[in-house]
Amino acid sequence: MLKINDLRVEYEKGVPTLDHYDLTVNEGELVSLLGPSGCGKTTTLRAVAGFVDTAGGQITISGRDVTKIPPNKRDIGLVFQSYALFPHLTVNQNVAFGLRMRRVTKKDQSKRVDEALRLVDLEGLGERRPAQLSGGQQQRVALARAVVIEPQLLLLDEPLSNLDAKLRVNMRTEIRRLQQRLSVTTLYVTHDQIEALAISDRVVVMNHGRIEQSGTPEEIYKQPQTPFVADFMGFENHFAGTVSAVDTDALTVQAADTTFQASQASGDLRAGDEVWVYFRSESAQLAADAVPNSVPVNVLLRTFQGNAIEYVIQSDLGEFKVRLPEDQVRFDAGPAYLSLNPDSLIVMPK
Amino acid sequence: MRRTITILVLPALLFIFIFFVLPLLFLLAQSFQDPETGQLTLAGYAEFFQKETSQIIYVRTLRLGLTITLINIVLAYPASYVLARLPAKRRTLAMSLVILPLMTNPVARTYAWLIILGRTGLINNVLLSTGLIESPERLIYTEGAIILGLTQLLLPLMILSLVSAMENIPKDVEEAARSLGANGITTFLRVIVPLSADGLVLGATLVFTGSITAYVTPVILGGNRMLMLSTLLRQRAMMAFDEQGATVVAVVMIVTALAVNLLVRMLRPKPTAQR
Ligand SMILES: Nc1ncnc2c1ncn2[C@@H]1O[C@H](COP(=O)(O)OP(=O)(O)OP(=O)(O)O)[C@@H](O)[C@H]1O
Ligand SMILES: [Mg+2]
Repeated sequence: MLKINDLRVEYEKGVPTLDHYDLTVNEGELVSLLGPSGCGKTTTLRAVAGFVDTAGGQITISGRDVTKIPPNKRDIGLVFQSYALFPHLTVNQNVAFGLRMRRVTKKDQSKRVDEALRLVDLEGLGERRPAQLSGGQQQRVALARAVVIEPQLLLLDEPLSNLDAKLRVNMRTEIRRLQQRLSVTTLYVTHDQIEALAISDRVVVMNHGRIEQSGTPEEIYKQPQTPFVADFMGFENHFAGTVSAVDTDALTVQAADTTFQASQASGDLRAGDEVWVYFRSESAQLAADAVPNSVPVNVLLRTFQGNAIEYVIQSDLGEFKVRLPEDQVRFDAGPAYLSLNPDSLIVMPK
Repeated sequence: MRRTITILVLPALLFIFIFFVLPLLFLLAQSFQDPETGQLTLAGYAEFFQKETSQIIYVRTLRLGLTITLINIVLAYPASYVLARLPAKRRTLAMSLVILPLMTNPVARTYAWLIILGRTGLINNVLLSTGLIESPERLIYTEGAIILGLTQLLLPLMILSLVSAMENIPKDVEEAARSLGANGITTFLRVIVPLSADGLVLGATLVFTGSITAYVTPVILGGNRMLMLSTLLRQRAMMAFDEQGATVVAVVMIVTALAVNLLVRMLRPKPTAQR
């Protein structure tokens, strides 16, 4: 189990890259850190691994405070974006490196190396050098090298970003399968939403060195709690409104001249609160006539996108994007109604 | 394409041939010629290898070359590592400081050693005034003096070679070793050293060749008491006017340098660089 308490990291004195950072990864759980470039994902990982100094706070791995312990004594398996294999050693020697450092006997070394290579489907390649392997194979060696030591914690920093799209999806599944099989506590860094959703037990969305939201992939995908998370998770449309009534499980929002019913609320909203209303371009509908929960719009543009048709529409609430299945009735440029299902509206305080 | 390359390389090759290879060939020929009769003879070499003094000087030159190279490796490795890991800007500055000795006049640089090591030099003064010694020690014209002088002269070459090799070792690889349980020293020995072997080979060759062929430093710090091949060469040519003897020394020196170069290249570990 990994516990980060009130962590602070400064590369430059007085300028925190991470601040008041709290994170827990439970035993056997895979948590991914998701966020835009520069938000501090790698920094978090490197602080846990012991490669950056902390300016405050505490890092605990399996109950042991490692905040002041050097990287080589933290018992962590680390997988880098660049793979970082030892180019002068064979695959076998690469994987055996950590075991050697732990003074495992030669016999056990070769047994465990073989086992680890079998686990990542690299049997028979043990005598090769890293330069003689493909990118995907190198990534597997890196993975084998990190898990063969049976670490308390596995850290992966964008392990798939150097692979091509197809291999990325395959490797992602493999990493997840391996992680579950070994039930190793894992922290996984990525800036790819889909990857994070697919692989994780829990997703932690970061922004500017702070945690915006943490939850299961479904929660993050369906119920973002901040504008940043909503944007990042692909809620392309939003408009401003005011809460006019609050019911037990329904919410009425007044925006321009329209009243919307929304069924979910993140946070405690009260009547009179200024709010943002977010919706996905796939969850909206277009209609020829006015229906409940709809607003008159003007269709500006229609584009064909293979399995979907995308519309750009203009309303009193702003400009929106709507994506409808390809086989639905098409709308031409001109007046129409945007219809929004109460379940698809995410309301959050402004 | 081929032709363009030939044309581009030709001038430099011609230059090297006319002003370097050709004279060397003459030198080689002369070393096998009897100065009186002009006949082919091995007498020059026989004399060189049979005479005790030249044997002593030859062995000394090799020994000093080896010692200086080893000292340079030991001194340069940690320093180069630190330099290679400096942020780019500060590294550039530090590197220009490292090569500063190469940019000062060799005579001036060596005379600085006289000021330190001489009979009335800094060290003797300090030792005398603290009463540790009764009369001035002879520090100059010793092997130690030559080693000091040449180490100072050649250290920058060693550092340059090692730094440029180490710069290419990704930080990730080092951190991978650390995370797998290797402490700083183990990481250095098992990762940094093998991955900078190319720089080590280059540096060692430069330093060894540099120290067995250096001239100014052995002249001033070794003098006639502590001759090396290069100073022996000067003595033969300029003082004894023994032209054939001089050419023999020159050829021995060149062949030794080449042989060591080849040997090191053969012994060097397999190419390690990925990429
Ligand atoms: N060694 C360093 N020295 C100074 N600043 C750094 C250093 N490493 C990172 N930073 C800064 O800290 C911030 C966070 O960087 P970090 O590498 O953690 O981001 P990241 O979330 O991993 O981004 P990416 O997705 O691009 O990898 C950035 O603003 C970056 O410029
Ligand atoms: Mg990063």
